[in-house]
Amino acid sequence: MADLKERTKESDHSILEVNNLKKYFPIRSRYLRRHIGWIRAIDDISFSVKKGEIFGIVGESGCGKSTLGKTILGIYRPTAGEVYLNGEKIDNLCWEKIKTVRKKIQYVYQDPGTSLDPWWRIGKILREALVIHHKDLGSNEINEKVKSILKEVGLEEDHIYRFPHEFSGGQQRRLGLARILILNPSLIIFDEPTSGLDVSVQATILNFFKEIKGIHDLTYMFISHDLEVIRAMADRVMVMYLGKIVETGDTELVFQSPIHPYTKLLLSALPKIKPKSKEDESEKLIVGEPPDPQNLPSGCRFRPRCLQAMDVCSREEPQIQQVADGRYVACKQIDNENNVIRACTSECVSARKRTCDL
Amino acid sequence: MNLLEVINLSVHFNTYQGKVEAIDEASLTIKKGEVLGLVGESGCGKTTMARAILGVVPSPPGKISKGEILFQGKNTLLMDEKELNLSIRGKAITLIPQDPLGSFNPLFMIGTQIKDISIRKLKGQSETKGAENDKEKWKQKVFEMLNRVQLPSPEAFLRKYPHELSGGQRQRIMIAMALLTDPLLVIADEPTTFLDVTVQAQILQILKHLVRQEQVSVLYITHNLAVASKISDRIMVMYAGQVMESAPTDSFFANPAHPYTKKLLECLPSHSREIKGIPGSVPSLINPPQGCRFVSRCDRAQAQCSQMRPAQVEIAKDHWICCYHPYIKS
Repeated sequence: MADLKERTKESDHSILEVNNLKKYFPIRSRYLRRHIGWIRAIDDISFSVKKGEIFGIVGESGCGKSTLGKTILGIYRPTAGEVYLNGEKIDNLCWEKIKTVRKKIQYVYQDPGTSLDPWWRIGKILREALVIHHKDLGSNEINEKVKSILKEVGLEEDHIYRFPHEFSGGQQRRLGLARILILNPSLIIFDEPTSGLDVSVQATILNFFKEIKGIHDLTYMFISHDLEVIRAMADRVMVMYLGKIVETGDTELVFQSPIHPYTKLLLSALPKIKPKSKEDESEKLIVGEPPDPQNLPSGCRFRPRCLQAMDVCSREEPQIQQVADGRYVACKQIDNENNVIRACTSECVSARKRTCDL
Repeated sequence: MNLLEVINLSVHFNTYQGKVEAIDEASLTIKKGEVLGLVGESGCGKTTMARAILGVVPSPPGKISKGEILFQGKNTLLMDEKELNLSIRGKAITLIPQDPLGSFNPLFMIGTQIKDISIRKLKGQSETKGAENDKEKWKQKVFEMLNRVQLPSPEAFLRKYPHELSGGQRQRIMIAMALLTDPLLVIADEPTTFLDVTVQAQILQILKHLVRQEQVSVLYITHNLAVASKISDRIMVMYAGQVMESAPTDSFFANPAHPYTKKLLECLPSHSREIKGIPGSVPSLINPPQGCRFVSRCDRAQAQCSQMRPAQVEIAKDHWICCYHPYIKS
């Protein structure tokens, strides 16, 4: 962890720094609402986002990706840890100060179809942000701004009289971005920006995001479970599993030579187009689903699904460690040459056999 | 003999805006034991095709205006509701839906809902065999099937409610339910869209394995070309209600011939950092273009394309396309 902190301090041009961030949600008993435990949605996460880069976060559903985004923005109060934006501490601020921070960090919600108010016309939706954050602007100026932003995202001026449902999925994404760009943020967090879009539309939207980033000198955080999208977009990627970082590094390096068993599992699960005849029948089989976050396994959280788990994995929780320049992995079984020690216990052999039988 | 043959099927919906031509003279065939991947963007008529095959196109507003659907040589469009219910729907042709949570009744336990199928099944068989005897056999079969979709300890699952299960478990139960009645054809309507990649890989493995064992045919509807390549023997691409290309999986990915297919493959953000989209948008299906419906977005289009719809031609063995100017290696 010390390495990570040093790194964040070294890089002056990092726009966002997150140090040991934790967010625990209480579990309450059914009738008396007594507090009986914690769900550790984000558990001790540290990273930094450099200015001008696209930082990708991947993981299965329920791994804490969205919670992380919302905690950074201050929608959820962190249980512990610090968040810095341009060197300024932004966690646990009072309401007035949060407002100024939210001008700079903006969040694009998962499904614009439902996050745009169905009863409001586009003009009102786009004006709202300015009405809240720029009280000094007159209504003429606001209207001008709204119209220019609509043009910028590839829509037309008279679309301000329309309702959100009159737009296609791709156009709704553009609107989602438009109402954020209107405030000139410096960091935008995208939560599943392309889920539910067709590939042809997805490609245009992703290119559009890249274009806008160049024009406005923005920094993006991309939260997605779609590995292909992350690979195409992100400069650096962080893989999360049940609230923990398992691996971070340059996107290409992580995708080409994954070190952590979970990253390997994710990548092997990705369907690839390859000729039927070349397909090997002995494909890697995938074991299990993520465990219940209420009672996590001891030691490494990935242990029950890991085919290389050893005794030490159940005893100690692995700490994140640097394995190469800018490459961090949390696994107990990395030797000096950054290879995962292959240890096949009787347990994992039987697990593999079970899945082979089907 | 082909198990299912859809010949020149046209489906339209009457709306206040006008006639929406959802499917325009589409044909497909599925052989016994074959997995056909039906690929296309949203709104291209994939699900309408599935509904037409099951005979559940909502009517009105929907109407099947032309064509034949031959299942085992019999035209299902000419059958009455009773016959369809008794021998086709949920029996010979079953459906794995897109959203398993929405397809289960939240008020009943999984076991009760599986039993519903058993009542249907026994009803059909009771004329020939003793119904009492079948009950035990049936229970055995349910347990066996749940084991085969990798759900250990089925007794526990039968007493759970749908919301208590994870997405992957729900979809597995759906697969088990679809295969319980020994169907000849299973229609899988985007069964993995709501799942994570790891769970998706598991579901695909299970489905592939079961299909091979049981020798059932599958119509696998998806918008994901990579998923289609993994599971299907043949792939058919639809665009705005028309069939564009249909070929065996190997040949399809080795030499995609239709301009739309080629562009669709380029959209996949897999290999290069540069992502290409398809400029333009899908034409409105109310008064669609007369000829090929892809004409407005195609860079090979010529005058001929917008006047007459190209006929289906075979460019290689079993590789059919509808295009005047395909990409063919000379």
